[in-house]
Parts: sequence; C-alpha cells; structure tokens
Amino acid sequence: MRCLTILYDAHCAFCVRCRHWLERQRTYLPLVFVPNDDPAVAQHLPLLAQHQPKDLLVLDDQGGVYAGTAAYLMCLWALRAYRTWAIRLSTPKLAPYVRTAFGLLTDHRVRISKLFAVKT
Amino acid sequence: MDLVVITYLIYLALSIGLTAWVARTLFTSGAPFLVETFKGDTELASSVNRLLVVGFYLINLGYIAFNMEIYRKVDSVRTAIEALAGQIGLVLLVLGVMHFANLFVFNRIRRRGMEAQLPAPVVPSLHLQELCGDACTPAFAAAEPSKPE
Repeated sequence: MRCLTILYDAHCAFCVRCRHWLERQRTYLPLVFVPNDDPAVAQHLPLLAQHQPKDLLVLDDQGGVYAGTAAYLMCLWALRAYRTWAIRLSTPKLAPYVRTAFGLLTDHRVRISKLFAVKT
Repeated sequence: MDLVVITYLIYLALSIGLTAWVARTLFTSGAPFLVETFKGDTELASSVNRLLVVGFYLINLGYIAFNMEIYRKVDSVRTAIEALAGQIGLVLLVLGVMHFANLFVFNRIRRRGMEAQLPAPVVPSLHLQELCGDACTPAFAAAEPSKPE
C-alpha cells in the first residue's frame, strides 16, 4: 500500500477539523483528502458517487474501500504516532466498543460541530 | 604520595574501567537490536551504535569528573576506603541509570522500525472492482498527496 485517499464530508466542520489535524500529523504513507461531493469523485468513481457517500470513506491505491470503523482505523494506521493504537483498537476485545464509539461520532458529527461552536 | 591523591587515582581507574566495561557490553549486545531495526543495514546500525556509545562515554566520564572531589576528611586507610566506596557507589548508580536509558533507546528505535512494517489492521469493506468493474479508478493519488515525513 503506497497511498490512502480519504473522502470526507466537507460540509461538516468537525470533519474539516479532523482533516486539518490529520494533515499536521507525521504519516507513514501519503494521504490525499477529497471532499465526497468533489466533481473528481463523480469522474473517477461514478458508481460510488451515485450512492452519494456522506460518511468517511478511505480508498487505498489497490482499490480497497474502507467504510465505517475500518475507515477511522485506516486513518489512524497511516499516522506514525497512532499506528499501534489502530492495531490495538482493531482487536476482537475492543472492536465492539470502537465500532460503537466511531458510529456515535459519525451519527452525531453535526451536533459535535455545534458543540465546538463552529459553523457547519 | 598523599592518601587523598591515591584515593583519587583509584577512583578514576575504577570508574573509567567500569564505564568502559558497560559501554563495551552495550556496544556488543546492542548491535543485533540495531541491525534488526535497520533491516540488516549493518553499516548504519554500527554507526548509530557508535554514536550512542560516544554519548554514553561523554555523559559518564563527565559525571565521573564532576563527582571527583572528596568532601570528607581522608586521614586514614579506613576513611579513604569509605570515601572511595561512596564515590564509586554514585558512579555505579549513574552507570546503571544510563545503561537502562540506553536499553530504552535501543528498544524504542527497534519498536519504531517494527511499527512501520505492521500490516493494515482491517480488510477493505469492499473492493472498487466489485462496485463498478473497471469504471472506477482510484486515481486520486496523482492529486498532490501530502508528503509523509
């Protein structure tokens, strides 16, 4: 794996903040950030664009698509400081809690954005 | 020769000898750790090893020089041995701390090297080809990726 493409919701302030945080981190492989309503998504991934993905999606350079918890874990795995955390959080013991936590984060991202008093 | 001067000379000989022994042990036993970390690059491993040992020598010899002065009164063989034991004891403690600090550094470097090799924690939820055959191309990689550091 040489590169990860991260499709995110550019209309969600919390997601944009997360993107900027990710950009500041030291990574093991290049990260490309693309808003999920970007025309490039429709151009390169027409069928994926038809589903109008709203949540975080991560694509690897071999065509693998990571959605939901897997997408969050792949983002962490790309970071030098959090790779071991990504492995730890993916263990069967922690996986259900991690799934719940990231699910809550995704479902309530608009509310979280408001909590941080940032405009969406 | 003055008893104090003899004590100083024994202190110096013992401390420097102990430092050299610990440094030698670190150098020889740390080498396999570093070779594994640098994926078999023995030249880079021995270079890092030498640099670590130089740092170890500098800190310890610096402390030995700093700690040389004996404050208690040395007027008999008994007081000389007591003073020497106190000084050498401190040097041994510092050597011990430095030794473990070095092991910690070795282990950290090794762990960092291993982390980079760790496989992805999850399998893809689906593959682009399943979704749209050849119609989808993950060609975003060309669009100015942020450089890894």
